[in-house]
Amino acid sequence: MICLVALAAILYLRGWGLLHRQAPYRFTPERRAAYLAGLGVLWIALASPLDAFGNFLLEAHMVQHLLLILIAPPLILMGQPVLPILRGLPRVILKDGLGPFLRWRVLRRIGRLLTHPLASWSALTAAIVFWHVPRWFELALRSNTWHGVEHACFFYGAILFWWPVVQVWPSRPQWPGWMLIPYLVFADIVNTALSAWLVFSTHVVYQAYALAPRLGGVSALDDQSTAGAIMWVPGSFAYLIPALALAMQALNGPRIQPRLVRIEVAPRRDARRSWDLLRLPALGPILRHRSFRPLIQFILFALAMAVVIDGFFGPQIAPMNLAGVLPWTYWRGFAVIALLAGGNLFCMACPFMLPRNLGRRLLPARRRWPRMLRSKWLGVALLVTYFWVYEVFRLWSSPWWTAWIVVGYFVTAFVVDGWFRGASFCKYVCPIGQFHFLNSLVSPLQVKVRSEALCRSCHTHDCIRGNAAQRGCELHLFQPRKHGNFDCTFCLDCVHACPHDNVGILTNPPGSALFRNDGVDRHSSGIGKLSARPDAAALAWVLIFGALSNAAAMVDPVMQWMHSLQAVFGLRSMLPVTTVVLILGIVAVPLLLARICGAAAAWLGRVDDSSRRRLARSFAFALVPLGFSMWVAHFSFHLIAGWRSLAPVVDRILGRSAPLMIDVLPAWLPALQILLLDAGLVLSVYAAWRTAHRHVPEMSRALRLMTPWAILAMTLYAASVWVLFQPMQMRGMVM
Amino acid sequence: MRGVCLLLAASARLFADGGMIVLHQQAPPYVVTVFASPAPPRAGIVDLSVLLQKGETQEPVLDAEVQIEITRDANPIRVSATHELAQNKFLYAASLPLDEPGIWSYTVSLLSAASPKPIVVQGQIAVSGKTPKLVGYAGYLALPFVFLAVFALHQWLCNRHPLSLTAAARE
Repeated sequence: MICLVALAAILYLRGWGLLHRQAPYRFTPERRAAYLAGLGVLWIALASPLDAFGNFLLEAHMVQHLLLILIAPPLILMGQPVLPILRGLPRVILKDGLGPFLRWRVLRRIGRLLTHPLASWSALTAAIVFWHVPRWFELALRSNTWHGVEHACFFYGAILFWWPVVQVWPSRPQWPGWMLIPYLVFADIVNTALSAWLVFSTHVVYQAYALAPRLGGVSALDDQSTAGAIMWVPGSFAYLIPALALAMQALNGPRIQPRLVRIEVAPRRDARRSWDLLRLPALGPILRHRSFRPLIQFILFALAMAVVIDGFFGPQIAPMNLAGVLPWTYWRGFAVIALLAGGNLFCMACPFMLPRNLGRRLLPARRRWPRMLRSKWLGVALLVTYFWVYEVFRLWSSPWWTAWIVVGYFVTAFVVDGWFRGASFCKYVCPIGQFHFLNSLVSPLQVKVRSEALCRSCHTHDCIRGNAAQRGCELHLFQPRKHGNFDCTFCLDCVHACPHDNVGILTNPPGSALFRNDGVDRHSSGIGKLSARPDAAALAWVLIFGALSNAAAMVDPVMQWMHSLQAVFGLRSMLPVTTVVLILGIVAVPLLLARICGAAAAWLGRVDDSSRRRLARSFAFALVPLGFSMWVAHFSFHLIAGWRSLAPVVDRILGRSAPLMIDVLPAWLPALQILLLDAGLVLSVYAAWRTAHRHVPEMSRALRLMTPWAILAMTLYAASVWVLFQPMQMRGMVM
Repeated sequence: MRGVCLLLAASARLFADGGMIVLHQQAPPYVVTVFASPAPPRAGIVDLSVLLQKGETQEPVLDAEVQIEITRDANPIRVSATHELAQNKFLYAASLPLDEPGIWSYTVSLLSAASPKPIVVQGQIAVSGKTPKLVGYAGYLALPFVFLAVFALHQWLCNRHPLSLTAAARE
């Protein structure tokens, strides 16, 4: 509630500030004060202790309703809130989002119909009468949901009721002013009849109050009479005072019409406004400091060493071992949250940089990475292998194997970058890096140039070539032609190398790299067109379906099904079943679905049959937000549910024994997980729509082209929701 | 090479997954660790597993008698925890019908040859409600479809009326 009130206040104040400069006589400080007072009254009515008293005292409940009907709405409307709130919205939402609806004649007609005095009078009167019927009033007392509906009926009904009385600008009056006098008087008659019924009733009308504990020794009948009196006297004043003012206004002659004012929306800016993290007052200098990255890398390296040592020499029980807790509960959770909230921050803090640098010093590091391996195919194969190893060797429950995986990672990084030039390990080998490269396409931060014009005048290209003091981008990403986060490790080498200080960490709408400026069809430096790369599309398919498979493999029904398969085929080991199911889940099924959807889209969209593969590649990236949302929903579940996992491990290492305080799962966790999937689905369908529009400009064909992909996205969404609502096995953690 | 082989042999001594740890406590001469599964525990059948180790050597103790008593409000449930019920044979496990969500208090009693008197450790376990029903989240599930329907209408309107907002605002 407080968030909504705060948002309404912020939007209004932002818009009012802009409009006050253009039309100070219409958007006055008094109007601003009235609006804010109205919001304040609304907050008192709904979020103050008044609401709690309402369950015991009818008079408190009545005061709450009167505030919602007679005080808050007219005050809010007196602030003339329509234009200030619209102007307070970000320009892109106002023009591109709401614009078509504001121009829609049907919607304007509906608005005019609803604010017609006959409709608005009927709306509020019906709401008041309906909710005072004992059956419905008691339903609202019993159920929080229906109580909310009751309050919404009162508040929005009252907004409609007071609209013609206040005559909110720029709407036009539909009745002459004097007609509003009977409008208010008849409303008061209804109010009086209801109040009299409560005051003179000889029994308690609402049985819930007869049974409720009495506060302050007031009997239920006295409480009811007082409530009726409150409704009668202040309620009548609220109707009759405006009626009197209108009568005097009618007697004094017509109102002087205010001068018409033309409100202009600010012209479109050439460049979209972005926040630059490197220019933030406190954070910017820290991020830019040359020691910052080595410091966070060293911290992660130290943690990785602790995982290795405890994994080898500590107790081989995952919940008691750092190797069972740090990677599988904390690291995965924080990594995906960092991707969601920022960008590829794990690669920025990568602990494998130290062995990579050591390899470069001790080994020749002169060879070029083999041409045949310059793609993501090796990374995709390693990812599939990792998923297989994870399930078969139950990495989550084996500190020993986890430690070996980390050691293997260090050795590979040391050898690859000690033998080959550049960042071959990051770009072509590291499966964790591939996971981050792909999913950071959805992230809201991007390392990019601040001014493209400045880059056009630059001839040294230090950001990619480097200079005497700083190496350039090792992943061959030329900043002015870089699009999105794919292959970007957030190493900030380009930031330090640029002599014009023209590279920053800028904010972008999440997922915009997938659809804005030709999206994945745009040529990007060091990558080419993502939509033209089958290896990158394969990476996307594996990670999208990997998200679902990884979570599904730990829920009870799937585990039981796999065990039943083992029994049916008479197998002694789960290895063949796990292998086949995994290969089906992250390789065969995605491949099959990509072919089916590609063929169906080509047929429905009437596009060239030979472009089916191109469609499958393009639309694979549209599904990335959904896959990413599943990773976040899954890993954040482990992080939130197991956030105390570290405590017993630390206690063991320090030789302490302490009883653990344990919590139940937070009730909001399932809702948060669904909201994450919701956002993923919406962004995926939107990206699919924009992708379809790039292929065929006509709306109907684009709709047909995207239909198979939208169906696939919704199927994945349904499957993900189902998986999240199954009992999950928490793997190696403590609550 | 010999060192690596020794390392492999030493570190492969025990693999276990008894769920999540709910208690880790020194109870001389032993160290007692209690696990709960499923993790997090939800109302229904909950498995409690006990790992008993010698305090000095950390060796698992396999010949103890382990009793678990658990209660929420009244009517305590008493069961014996055994190796037979445990997936990992270093653990003593028991299945308990914890039908109500909330905080349950348990007592683990241990009897072994090394200690003449029974050793008792106590703790609490939080049991969440049963797996949430999808129906309760219908509003959240409908949200993306409402959003997509509004977006479809938006695109339809854009296709029909490519007007500027300034013109609409003037109107």
